[in-house]
Amino acid sequence: MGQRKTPLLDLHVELGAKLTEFGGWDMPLQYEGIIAEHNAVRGSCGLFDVSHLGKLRLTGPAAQDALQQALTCDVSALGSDQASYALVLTDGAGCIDDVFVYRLGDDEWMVVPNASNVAAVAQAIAEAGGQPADEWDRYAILALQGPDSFAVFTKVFHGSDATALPLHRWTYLDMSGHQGIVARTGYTGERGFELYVPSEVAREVAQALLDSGATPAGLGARDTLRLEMGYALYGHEIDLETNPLEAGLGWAIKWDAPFRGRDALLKIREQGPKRKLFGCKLTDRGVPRQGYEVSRDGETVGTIVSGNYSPTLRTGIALAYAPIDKLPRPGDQVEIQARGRLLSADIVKPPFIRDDRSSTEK
Amino acid sequence: MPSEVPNDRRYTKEHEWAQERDGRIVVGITHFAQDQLGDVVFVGLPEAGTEVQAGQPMGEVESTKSVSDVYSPVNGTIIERNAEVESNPELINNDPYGSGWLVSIDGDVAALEGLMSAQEYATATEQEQP
Repeated sequence: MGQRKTPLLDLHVELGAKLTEFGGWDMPLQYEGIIAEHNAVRGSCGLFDVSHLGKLRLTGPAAQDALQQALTCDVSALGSDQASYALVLTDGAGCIDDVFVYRLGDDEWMVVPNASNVAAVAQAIAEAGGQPADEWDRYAILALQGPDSFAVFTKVFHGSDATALPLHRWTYLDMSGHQGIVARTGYTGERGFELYVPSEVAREVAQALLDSGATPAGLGARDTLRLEMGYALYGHEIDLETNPLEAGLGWAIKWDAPFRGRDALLKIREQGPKRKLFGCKLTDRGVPRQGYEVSRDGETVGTIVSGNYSPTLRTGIALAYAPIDKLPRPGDQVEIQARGRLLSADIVKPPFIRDDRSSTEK
Repeated sequence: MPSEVPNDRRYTKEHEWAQERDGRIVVGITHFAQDQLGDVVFVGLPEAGTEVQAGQPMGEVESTKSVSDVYSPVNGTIIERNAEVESNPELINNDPYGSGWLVSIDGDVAALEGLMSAQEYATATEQEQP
């Protein structure tokens, strides 16, 4: 079992959660069931506890330069009500992590890494001259996601105008007399918020959101939701051996910023990536899994890095890597080798669910 | 989680149940097994006529979390697979001891006596609870 405890652990147990160890934390994998929770987020509103995410705070005039070197986004362009997705790279352009960075003030920042990479990201920032403080127990992080998330939020925080925030903007918010943060961010493809709730009032706030109509949702549903959107998950689509261009994350690179790994990444861009990520949607019944091989006309062309059942499409979906000379194209048909069975699949361009719903946001 | 283990059938350590009905052996997975798996989304079952062997994999059950082999509790030949559960795998979650049955086998009914009783199975799974 993990050593770090979310302030909502007792609540999860009371709600009947199945817990799983995740990056040193005991977190809810599921409550009622992954499919029901997934559908609640797509159809109404779900509430996730993602307190295991890292919370690295930087202050002082040297912080901006350090972050500009450590992160691939344009840190200097962020206003103090903005947040941005970014990658943290090695000198060789491998991915140390993917993070969200919040500019909290002129000289105040918060970097949110994956739980298992907090130490590595802190080290990368320190190597760039920054002094990150690990504030892991200061906040609970709640993700309120789904087409009804604005209505649920407004029921609990009547006076707040956070529903007017554009995507990737944040604001301070009074939470039971304590100052928290609410941001228009998420990892599900639905509209919603992520709330940084001071630990002292975390349970109270979570309970109020549940009482106002949010369905508790676990990390199992978080994974199927992000997979339907084709979002990268560290340890699957990206890791130290993967560069952002093969992972399809070129959009997260601010090329004229002086980030670590830039020289190596420029070379990769010039030569073109050696492999690329692609999407498969099953036409046979079955579930693709990480590690399964993808073949075309009997020849192995790739390997799955994320696969599961899509509750929305009611079929299996997967993200896989293939060498560039064997890369299947949208419209191609392939087979997935699933424990001795061959499952037919179509190559599709992620996201697997189309962005034609008004509530869907990236 | 407290769950009744029906005492009208026998159990394997791999979490299948087996029950004699009119000379056939009907097989499914237990409540404990479906609870560990989570939402079942796919079932792969052997066709009628397939020879199966006690303790050997004869099919698979997949959930949003993982994939698990289904082992035959006895030697025999598949008579029928549950077509209903193939198109509605959630029956395994909702009714593992009833409409969520998987296959029926023409096999060695006497061999059921060698499997675990409900009491023995309940004790075994208590020790396995995380």
